[in-house]
Order: sequence, then structure tokens, then C-alpha cells
Amino acid sequence: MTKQKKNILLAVDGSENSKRAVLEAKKYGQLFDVEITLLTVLIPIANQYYTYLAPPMLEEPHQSKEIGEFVLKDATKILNLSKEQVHSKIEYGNPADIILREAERADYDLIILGSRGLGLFSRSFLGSVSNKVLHHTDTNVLIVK
Amino acid sequence: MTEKKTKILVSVDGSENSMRALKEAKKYGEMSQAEITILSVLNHGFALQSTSKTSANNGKTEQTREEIGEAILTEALKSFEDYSGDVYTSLRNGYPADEILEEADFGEFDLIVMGSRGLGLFSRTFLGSVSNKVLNHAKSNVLIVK
Repeated sequence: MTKQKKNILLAVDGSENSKRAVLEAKKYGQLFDVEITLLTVLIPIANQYYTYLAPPMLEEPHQSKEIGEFVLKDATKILNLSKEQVHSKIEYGNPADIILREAERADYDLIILGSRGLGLFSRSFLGSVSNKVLHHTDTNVLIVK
Repeated sequence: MTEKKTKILVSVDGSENSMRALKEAKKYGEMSQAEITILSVLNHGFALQSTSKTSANNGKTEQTREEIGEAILTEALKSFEDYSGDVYTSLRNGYPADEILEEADFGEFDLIVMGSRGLGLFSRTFLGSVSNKVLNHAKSNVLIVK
């Protein structure tokens, strides 16, 4: 049986949950002819001091690029697919919005993400990122617990 | 070495969306010869609306609701005639989200597949209340099909 093609958007943040999402994507990689876009979003670091004392910054400080690169490298290693099958991306901003933007940008068959990531615990069991993505995308979403 | 078979639970309610969910479950299951269970839930509140045109007799309404559920499952099974793995059906009575969660727990499913919204009136971009509840309480992974 020839493997069916699947274009997957896999959002990761280095959390244990996101690692499980990567493992699920790996399963898809074994069952289908996949092309995976590995996306990690670096978030702005709120700095109460600089807004009060310092002059306005031209750029808002974000988590360091090194963290993003490490997260992507780790995920790529776990996926263990050929280089042509995995495209890594580091973006800056609000994770849910960036994931939604990326989902719009290209034609994905599936978005894979953890139910909760590194974010603060919320009352529901679904984190704010997966919650927002689920509500606004037209693409199928696999939520990994 | 025998590998434990993947168990997939797909819930259907007769809507176009749930038919798409069924298709996705089949595609995924096919590649791994997963064991699939198709679940239809007789929803107290909803079913009454759809059978209001029939007799007001309580007994008759009960039977019609069950017939609807069975019909949905029969229709769903048709698309699995050429499926290489095992397929089961389940008919439950109650509030859809709760029944889906109970079935998922009881059967120790690895994956729940469902539509983002079923027969509800909301637009395509919103998540229905059933899938929302299942997502928040399921122990297994959930595939939401739009």
C-alpha cells in the first residue's frame, strides 16, 4: 500500500507534553509520507523595570533564540526523519496567533500540539494555546495529552 | 513480537462533520490496522426534537431514537466494509460528552476521533460543546476533524 501524503504542522515548546506530541508526529511519520513543519514560538519577556525606567525599546525582548534552536534540534532528533521531510521554524510573538498564522499560510492536513505546554495552569485541562488554535483553525487538530 | 493494537474510538451523530471524522479515523486506522469502535450516542435532549413529528407517545419516541442511532451506525459501518482491521459499534444513551468519555475510559482507547461540532447550529470555526468537554476530560489523545 503506497503511503498517503500528509503535510503536518507540529508546534513545540520544549515541555514534556510537547515531547509527547513529537512522538505522536513520529508515529504519523511511520504510517504516512509526511512533511513536517516544526514550529516553536519565542514569547516576549515582560520586564516591569524597563517600561518604567528605561527609554522605549525599539524591539521587545524575547526568549533567547538558543532556547528555540535547542527545542527544534531536540524534536528533530526524536522525529528521526529524512532532512527533506522536516522544516524547522522559529517565530516570535503570541504562540496561538503564530500557529494559526502558519496554518493559514500553507496547506496543512493536520496540526499536532500538546494539550498544555509550559504555560501557567488554567482551570480547564486544555491550555490557552491549544484552546485558541482549536477554535480558530479550519485544519484538523490532534491534541496530545 | 506482537505489538499492542491501536484502539480508536470514533463518535458519530449522523452529521456531515462526523462522517468526515469517520473517514479520518479510517485513514489513520488503515495504516496501522487499528481496532476501531464506532460510537453513537442517543441524546435525550436532541433526539426529542428530531422525532417531534412522530407520535407523542413516549414508548414510540424511545424506539424511534434507538432506530436513528442504529441507522447511523449501520450507515457508518458501510464505509468500513473493506477495512482490514477489527470494527465494532456501540450504542449508548445519555449526554454525548459523558458517554464518549465513559466509553473511552472503559475501552482504554488510544485515540478519540470526533468532529469539531456535530448537528449544532454554530459556525464551522467554533468548537461544539461536546468536543469541548471531551477534549478537556479525555485521558487519551483527541483528533478533532473540522
